[in-house]
Amino acid sequence: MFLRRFLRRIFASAVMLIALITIVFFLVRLVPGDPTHQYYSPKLGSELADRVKVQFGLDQPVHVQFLKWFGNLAAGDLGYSISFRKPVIDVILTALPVTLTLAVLALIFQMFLGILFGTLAGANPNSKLDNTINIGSLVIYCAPSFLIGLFLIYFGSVKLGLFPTSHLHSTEYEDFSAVNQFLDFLHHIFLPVLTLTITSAAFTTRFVRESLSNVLSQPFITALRSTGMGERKLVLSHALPNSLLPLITLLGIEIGSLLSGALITETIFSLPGLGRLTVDAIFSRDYPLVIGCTLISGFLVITGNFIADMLHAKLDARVSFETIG
Amino acid sequence: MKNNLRKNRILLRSFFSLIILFSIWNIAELISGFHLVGLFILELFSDFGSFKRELDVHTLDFLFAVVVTSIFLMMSVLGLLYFYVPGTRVPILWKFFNWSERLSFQILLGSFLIAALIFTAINSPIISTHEPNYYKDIIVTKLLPPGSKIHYVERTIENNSANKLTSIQNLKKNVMHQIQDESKLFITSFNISGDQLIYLQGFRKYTEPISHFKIDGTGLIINEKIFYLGSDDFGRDVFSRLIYSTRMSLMIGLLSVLVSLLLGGLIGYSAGFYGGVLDTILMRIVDFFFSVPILFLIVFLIAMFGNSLFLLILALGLGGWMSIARLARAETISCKKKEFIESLKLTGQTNYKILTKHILPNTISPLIVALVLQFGNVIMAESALSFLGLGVQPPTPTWGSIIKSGYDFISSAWWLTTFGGLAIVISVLSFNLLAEGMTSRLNPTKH
Amino acid sequence: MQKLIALYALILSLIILPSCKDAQNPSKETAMEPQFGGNVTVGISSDVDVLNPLFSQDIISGTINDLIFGALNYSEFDLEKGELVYLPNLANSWEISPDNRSVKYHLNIALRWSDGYKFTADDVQFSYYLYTHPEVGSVRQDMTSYFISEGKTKVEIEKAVKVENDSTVVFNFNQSADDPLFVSGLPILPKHIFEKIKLKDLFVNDVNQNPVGIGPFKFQKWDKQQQIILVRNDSVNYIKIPYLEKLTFKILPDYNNRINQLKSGEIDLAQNLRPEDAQTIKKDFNKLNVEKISGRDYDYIGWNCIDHEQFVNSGNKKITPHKLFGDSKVRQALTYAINRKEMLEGFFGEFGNIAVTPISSIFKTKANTDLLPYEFNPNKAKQLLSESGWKDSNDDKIIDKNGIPFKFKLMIPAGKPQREYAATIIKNNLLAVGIEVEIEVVEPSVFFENMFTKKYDAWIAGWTIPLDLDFEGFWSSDLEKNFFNVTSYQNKEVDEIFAKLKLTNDIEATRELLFRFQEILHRDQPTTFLYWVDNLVGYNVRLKNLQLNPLAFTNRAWEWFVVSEK
Repeated sequence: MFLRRFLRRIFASAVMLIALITIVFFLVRLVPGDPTHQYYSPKLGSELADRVKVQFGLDQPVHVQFLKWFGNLAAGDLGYSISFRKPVIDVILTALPVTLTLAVLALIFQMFLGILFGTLAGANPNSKLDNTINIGSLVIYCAPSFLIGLFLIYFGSVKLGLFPTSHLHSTEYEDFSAVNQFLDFLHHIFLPVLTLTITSAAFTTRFVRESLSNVLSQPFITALRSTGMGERKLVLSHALPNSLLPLITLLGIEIGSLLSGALITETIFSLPGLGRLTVDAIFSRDYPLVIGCTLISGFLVITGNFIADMLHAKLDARVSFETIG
Repeated sequence: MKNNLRKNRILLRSFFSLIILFSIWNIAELISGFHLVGLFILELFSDFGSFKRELDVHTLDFLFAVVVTSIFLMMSVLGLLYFYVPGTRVPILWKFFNWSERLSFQILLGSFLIAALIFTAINSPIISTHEPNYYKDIIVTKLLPPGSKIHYVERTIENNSANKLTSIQNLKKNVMHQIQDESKLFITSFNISGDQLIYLQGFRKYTEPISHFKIDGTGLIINEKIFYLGSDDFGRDVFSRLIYSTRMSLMIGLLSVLVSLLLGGLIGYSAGFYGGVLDTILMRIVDFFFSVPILFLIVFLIAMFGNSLFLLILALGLGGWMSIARLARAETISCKKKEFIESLKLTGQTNYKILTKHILPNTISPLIVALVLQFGNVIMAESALSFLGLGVQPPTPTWGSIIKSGYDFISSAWWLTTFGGLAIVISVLSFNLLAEGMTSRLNPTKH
Repeated sequence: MQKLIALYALILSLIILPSCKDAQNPSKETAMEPQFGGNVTVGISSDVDVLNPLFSQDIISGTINDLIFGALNYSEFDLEKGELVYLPNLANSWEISPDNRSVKYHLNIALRWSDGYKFTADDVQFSYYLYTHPEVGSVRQDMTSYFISEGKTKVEIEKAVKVENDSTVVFNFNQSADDPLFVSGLPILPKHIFEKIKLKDLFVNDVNQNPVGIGPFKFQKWDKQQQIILVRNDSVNYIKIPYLEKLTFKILPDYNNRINQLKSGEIDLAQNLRPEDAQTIKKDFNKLNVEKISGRDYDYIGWNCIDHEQFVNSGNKKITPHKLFGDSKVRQALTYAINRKEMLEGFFGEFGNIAVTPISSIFKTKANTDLLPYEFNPNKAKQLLSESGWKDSNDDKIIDKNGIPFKFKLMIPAGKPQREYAATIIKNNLLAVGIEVEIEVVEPSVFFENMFTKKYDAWIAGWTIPLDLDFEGFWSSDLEKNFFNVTSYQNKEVDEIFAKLKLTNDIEATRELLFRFQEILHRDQPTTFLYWVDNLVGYNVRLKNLQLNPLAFTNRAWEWFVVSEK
């Protein structure tokens, strides 16, 4: 049963990814604009631009380009980026780690903070703590991430001068010892991660609080409570695990929103990540790079959803069984 | 529960009082507004041509605002009377107040905040202190901090007695904010020596005879203009721009939520109702859209079709229909299982009738909650787009674009980011509060 | 996106050549004794495309390439004379033939490539082989026309760039070149590296990221989107050994970042400061200084002179005047109606100048200073408009003619704040004379496509003017050939001027012709010239001997040195 579902989901995911690529591949060429505009010159006209098109194979019909692209994909070749004049895969591989570092760190911190505050609030319903957390998280949740980023920059960098406002390393990075290199990296990535963390932690907090208070009102908790079990043990070892289950589904969706959020964060902090790369590629009509970026981010999101889905299916069976027992 | 009732009453009363206070504050404008309405009615019967000419969009906007403010004022007075003078209860209002008092505090607060937003949007011409795109003498008025006072003098306009202003034109000029007003001259500092006015604009110094300007018995009239929330890089009044931005945000929010509802509703209901292969296909499409980062989708659409308001609304609507569709489907499926639907089917009711008459009314409430939530998200997404420079075209004021200029001047002009941000947070918050209140009303088991 | 804008603005200038002597500086600075050593970090707004002069397109990669690769001569823009001057570089000396059709270079063969190989005359020939070969697709190909042998269609490189011996090269042009030193002044590439690569593979080769050259600096490292590090090239005596140990270009796309890092001392130099920041820096930061480079870039409003729809529908043949902007009187009126002073003062403060013609005042002998800018005069504008038939006949406050109201869309490419600023002012200015303008900010790729295909009625864009002042591509009447004539302006006299300019080498005659050209443009106003943009360069005062000029801010970077802070 599980295996069948697993295979079906894999198949569906693959189809989705291919559909995504196909649509983007043709759509991006319909968009007005031309990657070779920059090669126009008053003396040569469009002569040079035409030659560049031939060099990058853009002169062929779109469906031929498409088939070629898929053929090359099998060999792991994503073509050449027009604006970088480098293999697309190389360009993406320099940008991907930045976004992944940001997203993974933010994911860890926001889960930690979200579960911590959510539990604190949900376990003490209607207490002062609960109200404070509730209102605080609601207000933060209602603030757009760029606003939070701007305030962090304003206070952290402009006013106090504590943190750098951009990049992943200092210029003298090379000369540092390994420990200092790591510290330097942390120093640089602190504000961007904080920005991403704060916005998504507010959401997780609210989610966990809601879910926990739901579980706490269920009959099996009342039953356990009547056995004289301590409140702390009740919450931590019985209610919380049950309430975190829906969070796993959320995790899958979260990857998509973290990528979107990373775009804004990367823009504000001028980090060379995948989000900015994608948008720049769209704007400069660097077709091969657009497709490459779509492939990678689509793959990340779809895999994220897939894993979350599978995990949920697996855990759900176990947890609900335990609950009954 | 008692405590809640008390809180709600305070809320109601303060809302009414605020509106009355606001009306008193702007009483002169309201009276002139009604004067203008009267003049227009007269003009309608005497000179239709000039009536048509003078009643342009801005005037209509202004007059509409005057009327709406008065209605709000009347309601608020009646509302306060209801609280303090028991004999004055208007039956319908009384019912409404009683009902609203029993709502949860969250719902009430949320809906009042939203009402205030709508009030602001409609009454922008009255609330704002300037036309949002008005600026003059940039070098003097550029990037002023909140509360700045700037002196100005008014030039006497050269004698073009040929077109003397009619009473309507005169009144309009006095009460309505003008996009352009060449007669005003903003000055950094000034000095009067004899019959000459020596004034400074930025780093430039000018000398002009006083007779060029409006004077009264005591000499040159020096006026003052206050920028309550400062000015932006064009010397435009931030307060007025914030007020006018409400219109854009609410309009974009409303329309794109409608787009989401139409699309999501259609897909969700048909997937849920008919099930089978259709359901699978439609839900795969939903999954597909879920897996595309929305912001990229919008960037893409805008790159593709150019940047227009229509497209922006469509794109934002496209970004949010998936959750509506999922919800509609889930609700329909659970509703379909209920006994009465089964029995309706047996009695031979048409699918269309069952769907519209029975399933829709039973499933619409959670959808409305989702839409309210969606409204807040759209406002947030729109501001993000404006911030990235992909939103509404300049110089139309939007919160996102105000924050964007605040970002450009982050070290020198904190007020742009702060107030723009505050406006966004408050409006998103109000929609979230309402949505949350409604959720707990729908699922009473929760706290 | 920013990068793209930079590209478009700079399309024209064949910037490989660095720059020039600065007359203004340095009584105090000369007193300082230069010292060796020290690192300097320059903040730049976008990553460079490639570090290979064959393909590099944007201005900043041109600048960096100039530090890594040397050319036979070193060109500078002499601000006093108002023209380009040339100094010995990879060549010790040269002789130009009297008819301007050949140059003989005597190379400095003591030089070595940064990987240790010897520099010879073959490298020169091979470089030009690459530049002119169609299969390579170099962006410098527009030089090719000078090298094609008479009666042939292809370049015969052995004849065009003749190697006499290891240290002597002769350039032979098929026509008399306006400036033979300019044409023969492309960066020289190492033959021993490029000959190993197939011509058709060059455009994406690894070598584009790992340059080997002969220049004052050696390439060390390029972290994409982060930084490019150059180090002193002290292996041989190239013009002069730089004082600086290391020169880093730090990529900071966000403007606020650049400013903050300049203020905090993380970077030593940043270009294109906003005027208000330049002012605060001048006032409040005594460890920073601001200087400006003027006279290369201007912004303009383009008025489409012909009816676009009819032009396209007839297969780019039928020329009918634009229904709004076809009349030069209307265009004059528009210029009168626009308050350029307010734009300048509001956005640029004390920097920048009103533009009158496409030739700026740094070209001292060639700018026609008799022409005065149209003053801001709405009444005059109204009068001119009503003279050409535009009046408000239906009392809707918008002027009209033959039932057509004067309304149009003003397009601007996203990303340049000064243009959005100008557009907002223009909207208000034109409303005052009864013209309704709708502003539309368009993404640059779309904007430039539509601008080049002449789809817009009116738009704001900018040009960087070519140093050889060759404007034929921009203003001559042949719309098929010159699609850079974006306003579709056509004037026979202007065409004749261009034809005459090609034939003459006489300085006086050239000046006369250019003066007349400017007069005509000023009269017809096919574009409303808005303002010259000053490039404001902020730098830390520990950095000494900076010699900014219109060609590049890195002019004579080998003479830069730093004094240690105490």
